[in-house]
Amino acid sequence: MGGSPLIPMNDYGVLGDPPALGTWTPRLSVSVVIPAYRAGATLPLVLAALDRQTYPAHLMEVIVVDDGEEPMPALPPTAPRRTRVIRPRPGLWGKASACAAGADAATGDVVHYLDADLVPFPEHVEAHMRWHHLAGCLVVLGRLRFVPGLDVVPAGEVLAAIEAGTLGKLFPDEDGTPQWTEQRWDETDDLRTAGFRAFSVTVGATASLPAALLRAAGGMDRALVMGEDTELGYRLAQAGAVFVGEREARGRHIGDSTVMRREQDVKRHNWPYLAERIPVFRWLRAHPNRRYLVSYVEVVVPATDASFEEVRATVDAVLSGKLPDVVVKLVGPWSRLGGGRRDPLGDPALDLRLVRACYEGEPRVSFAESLPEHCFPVPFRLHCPPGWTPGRSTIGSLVKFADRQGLGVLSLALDERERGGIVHARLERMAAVARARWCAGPGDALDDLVHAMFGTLWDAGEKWGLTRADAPPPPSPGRPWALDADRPSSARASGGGSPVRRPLRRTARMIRRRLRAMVRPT
Amino acid sequence: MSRAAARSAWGAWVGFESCPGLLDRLVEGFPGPWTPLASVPVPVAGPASEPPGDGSRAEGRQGPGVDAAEARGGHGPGSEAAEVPVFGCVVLAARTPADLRLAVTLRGLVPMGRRIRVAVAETPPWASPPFPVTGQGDCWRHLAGLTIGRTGQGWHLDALFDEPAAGGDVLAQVVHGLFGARRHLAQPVAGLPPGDAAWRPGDANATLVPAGGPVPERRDAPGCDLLLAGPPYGEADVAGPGGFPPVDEAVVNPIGFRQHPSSPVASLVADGPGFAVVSGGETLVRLPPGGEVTDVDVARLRETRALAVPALPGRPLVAARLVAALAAAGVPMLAEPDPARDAALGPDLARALAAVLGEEVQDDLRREELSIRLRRSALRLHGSVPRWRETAGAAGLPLPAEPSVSILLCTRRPEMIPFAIRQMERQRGVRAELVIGLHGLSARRTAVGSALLPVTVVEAPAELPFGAVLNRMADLAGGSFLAKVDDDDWYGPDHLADLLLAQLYSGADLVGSAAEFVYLEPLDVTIRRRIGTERFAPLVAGGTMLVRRSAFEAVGGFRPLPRTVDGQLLQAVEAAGGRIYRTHGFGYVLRRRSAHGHTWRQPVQSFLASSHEQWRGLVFNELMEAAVPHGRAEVRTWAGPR
Repeated sequence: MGGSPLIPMNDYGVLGDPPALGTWTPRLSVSVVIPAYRAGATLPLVLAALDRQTYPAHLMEVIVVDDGEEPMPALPPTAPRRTRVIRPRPGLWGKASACAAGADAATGDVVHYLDADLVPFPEHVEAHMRWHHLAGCLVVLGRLRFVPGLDVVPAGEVLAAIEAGTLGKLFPDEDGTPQWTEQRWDETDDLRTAGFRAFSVTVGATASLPAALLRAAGGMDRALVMGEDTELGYRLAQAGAVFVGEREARGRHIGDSTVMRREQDVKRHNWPYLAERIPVFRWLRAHPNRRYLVSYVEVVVPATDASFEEVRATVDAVLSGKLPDVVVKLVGPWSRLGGGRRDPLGDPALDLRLVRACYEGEPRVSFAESLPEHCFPVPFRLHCPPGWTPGRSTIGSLVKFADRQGLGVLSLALDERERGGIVHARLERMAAVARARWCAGPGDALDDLVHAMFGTLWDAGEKWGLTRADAPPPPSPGRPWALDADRPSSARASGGGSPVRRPLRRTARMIRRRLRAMVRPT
Repeated sequence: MSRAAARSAWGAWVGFESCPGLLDRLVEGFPGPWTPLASVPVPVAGPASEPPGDGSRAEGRQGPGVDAAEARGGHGPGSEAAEVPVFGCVVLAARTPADLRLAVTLRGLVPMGRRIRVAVAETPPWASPPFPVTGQGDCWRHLAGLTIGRTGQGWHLDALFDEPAAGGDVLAQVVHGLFGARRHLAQPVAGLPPGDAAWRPGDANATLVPAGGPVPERRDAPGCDLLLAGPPYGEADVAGPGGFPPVDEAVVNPIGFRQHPSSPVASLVADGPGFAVVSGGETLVRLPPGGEVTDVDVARLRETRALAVPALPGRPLVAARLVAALAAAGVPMLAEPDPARDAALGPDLARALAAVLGEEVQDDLRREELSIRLRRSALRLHGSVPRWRETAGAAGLPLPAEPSVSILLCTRRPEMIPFAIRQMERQRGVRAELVIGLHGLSARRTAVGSALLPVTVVEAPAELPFGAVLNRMADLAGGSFLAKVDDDDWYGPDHLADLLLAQLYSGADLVGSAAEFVYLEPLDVTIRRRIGTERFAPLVAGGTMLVRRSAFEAVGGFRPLPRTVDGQLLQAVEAAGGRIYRTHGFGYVLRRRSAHGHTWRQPVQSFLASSHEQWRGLVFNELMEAAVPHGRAEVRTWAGPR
C-alpha cells in the first residue's frame, strides 16, 4: 500500500470528497458476504435489491453463508448472477463463524458484510466502494433505518418497491428508526473527529473493508457469538484502519434488531467477552488486580547487556504499577542458556539465567529471543531500558496523556550517554505504527509518518516518574521530619543537627511510635 | 542672584488634563492652588544668547512661531539678574512616570524650596520606586530628611532641607533613579518653549525659551544648538513621516509584554474629546484628545490580546501619535486603513501595522512575532533618540556617531567559523565589527575573512582559560558595546539591532535574549521554553549578552575561568549595581549538541521539562528569516503545536 494518503487520527476528510455517485469508473471487485440464519423471508428481498445495484455486476459477487440448522432451499429467482451459497464447516455455527467462512470464500478486493435482513438501496454498494478506491485502510459503514417487519408490510409490497425503485417512498427516511451509532456520527462529523474511539461504532449490518486489511487484522473472531463486529472494529483499528460513516449507503433493516428489543440483556451478554478482548474499554476493566486475554500495555525490556539487578528493578517496578493489565516482554538470548554442567557462580551468562529464574512463575512476564515487530492486538508498547523504573502510576499517566494529545509516539529522555545517544523510554501506539506501515513507501521513515498522522513528542522521564533504579525517592513535600528521622544517626552523633530541628525529630519519633502501637497492639 | 522672601507653597502638575479631580486627593496637606507646569513662566536670567546660524529650526514643523531670528533679537526685561523664587514647600504632581519625564525637561520652571514633594499618582508594575540618584548637584548637601512612601498605586517623595534646594535638580535626580542615569542623547542641545516639552521628553539638558523671548545663554556658550519652534502640534498637514511628538522610549516600550495574554481583543473608541479602550463593556484606559500614551496606560493593556484601532478621519497626527506609541510598546493592533495616518507613521511602520490580522493574533507565537515587528519599526522611527538624530541631522548639525558593537566570537572549532561569520554578516541596522578569538587554533590555518565586516583575529593558546581569551578579545574591540556570540547557535538578522534597541529603552548595563527556542540536536527536536521575557532579570542566554563597554570594564571583564564565564559576568554586573535586561528570544535559537565527554552541559531532560511547545526537526520562527541551516539538521516548516 506504499504511498497511501496520510490520514491524521480518523480524519478521512483529508481524502477530499469522494466522487459523486454515478460519475466515476470502478476498478475494484467486491464480495458481498451475507450471513443467513432463519432469513428465508427477508433474504430474497436483499438479493433482489442487490440485483439492482448500480455497481457493475462483473465486479460484484455475492456469498450467502447458510448458517441454518438445515440447508436452505434453492435461491430465489431474482438474485445477482454471481451468487453462491456456502455452508460453514460442520460443527461451526453463529454469525461470526458465518462471516469468517464467507470472507474465506471471498475473491473480491473488498469484503462487504451485509445482514440478511438489510435491504440496500441501488447505490448502496457503489457508495461503499467509492471510498475504497481512495485509500486502502478504510472501513466504510453504511447508514440504515429500522422499518416495520414483514408482518406489518407484506414481502410482496417490499419486493415491488425494490423492483420499482421506490423503496424510499415505501419506507421514508423520517419514519424509520436510526441505528444507535448514528448519534455518534452526528457528533463527530461522520466520524471524522471521532479520533481513537471511531472503531467502537463498527456495526456489521453493512460494513465494507479491503480483504487485505481484514486478513491483517486476523479476520472475524469465531469464538464470539455476539459483539463480534465491535471486537473486529477494535482489531481493525489496531491494524491501522480508518472508519468512514457513509450516509449515502442507505438501507432498510426489515424489523427490529436484538439490541433494540433487549438492550440490557445484550450488554450483559457482551461485556464479559469484550472486557477480555478490548483493553481500551477501560470501564469494563475496573478490577484492580487481574489479567485479561488482551493486555493494555506491553513493556519491552532488553535484558541482553543488563545486570540481573537492573532488569529486576525495572520489571518489578512495572509489575507493581497501578495498571493491572500490563505484561512484560524480556528480550535476550535465552536459547543460549543450556542446561549442561556449569559453575553456578562463575557462569558467564549468570545474569540472564537469574533473570529467567526470577520470573519463572510470573505469567505476566514472557521471554523473547528478538523483539517481534508488533504486539497486536495489544494497543500500547512501552520500551523501557533496564535499570530505569516507572513509578506506580507512570504508565497509566503516559497512556492517558498520549490519548488526550492524540500522540502516536511519546519518547522520554532519561539520560545522555558519554559517547552520544540518548537513553530513553518510548511509548508506541500500535495503531499509529501499523497505520504508518500501511502508508509507508520505500524509503519512508515510520516515525515521520507517525508524526504526520498522530504526532510525536519528547519529554523528560523524570517529569513522569521514570527514574534511575538506584535514585533515592523524591522527598515527600511538607514532611521534612519524616526524612530527617530516617537518615543514619551521624548528624546526631556529631551534634551537627540544628538545635531547632531536634525537638521536631523527637516529636516525629514519638508520633511514629504511637502510630505503630495503634496498628500493632502487642 | 537675589532671593525673594520665602512664600508659603507652590504646586504644579503634569499629566492631569483628563482627570483634574485626581489632584485634590493626591498630596496630603496641600490644598492648592495648582498650576500646570508647562504654563509656569520661564525665569529669565542673564543676557540672551546668539543661537547658531541658519537652519536651526526643527524640520517638519512649518509655519510662523518663535523664529530663530526673532529669538536672537530681544533682550527681555529683567535679564540681568533673574529672581529665583523660593518657597516653603514646592509640590510637583505627575500622573505617571511618563509625565515625570516631561517634567524633567521643564525642570528650570520648578522653584527652590525648603521642602520638596514629588508625587506620582500611578506607576506601572515594572517601575522601581523613586529613589533619587544624586549627581553633581549640591542640593542634597542640606538634606534634613527624606521620606518615600507608597500612596495607592503611586509614590510620594518628601524631602526636607535646611537651606532652600533647587526643585528642578531634585526632580531630575528622582527621575534618574527611576529610569537610570546617563542614558539620554543630550546633545546637540535643544532649545524649546515649555509647551513643547513633549518633543524632548526626559531631556534635563534642554534650554527653556520664554514665549516670544530670547534663548537664555549658558555659561560661556550659546543657549542651544537647535531651537524647536513651530505651530502647536496637530494643526500642521501631514507631510511625510513624523509631525507628531516622538515616543519616549524610556517609558513607552515593550517592558512588561505578556506572551500569553488572558483578555480578548479590545477596541479603541471615541470618549468625549479623547479616547477610551474598552473590552466587554469595561473601560481599560482613557486617553487624552492629543493622543498621549503613558507607561501606565500601556501596563493596563498588557493582558489584552490585541487592540482594534479605527480610522480617525481629520485627526491623522493624533491617530499616528497613538498608534506609534502603542506599536512601540508592542501592543498588537488591528488597525483600519487610514492613509493620512499611515503617511505620518511612515511606510515601514504602516506595513508592519497592516500585517497584523485578526486570526493571526489568536496564536500566541504569531502574535509575538507581529508585536516585535511593530516595536522595531516604531521605536526606530519615532523613538525620541532617533527622532532627535533625524531632526538635528536635517538641520545640518553634526551628530554623535551611532553606538557601535564589537562582536566577540571565540571558538575552538575551525569548521564552525564560516557558519558563524555568515550569521554575523547578516546582521542589519548596526555598526559592527567582528573580533574572532581562535582558542588553540592557528590563524594561518583557519579561514577567518569577511567581506562585509571589519575583522580582528586574536590567537590564544589552548591552555589559556576561556574567560581570559574573551578579555583579550575585548581589549582589541573598539565598539561602545560588546556582544558575545557563540559559534554554533543560530541568530536572526535583527539579533544585534534588537539588543541595542532593548538597551536603549531599558537603560540596562547588560541586555540579552532568553534562550526560548532550543534545538535539541540529539533528539532532532526544536522546543520553546517558558521563559519570561521583556523584563529585568538576572539571567540571559550566554550567547546573546550585549554589555555596555563601561560596565564591562568596571567589573573587570570576564572571569578567567575555562567555563561558566557568562554566568559569572552576569553575577559581577549585578553585584556592581548594574541592571540586566532580558528581551525577547525570537532572534536566537540555542543549539544543544550531543554531550562531548568532558564539558558539562545542561541535560537534555531539563530542556524538555521546561518546554511548552515542540516541533520535529530544526524549526525557525519567522523573525529568524530562514536562518542559515548548518550540518545535518534539516529545516522543516512549522506545523503548529499538537
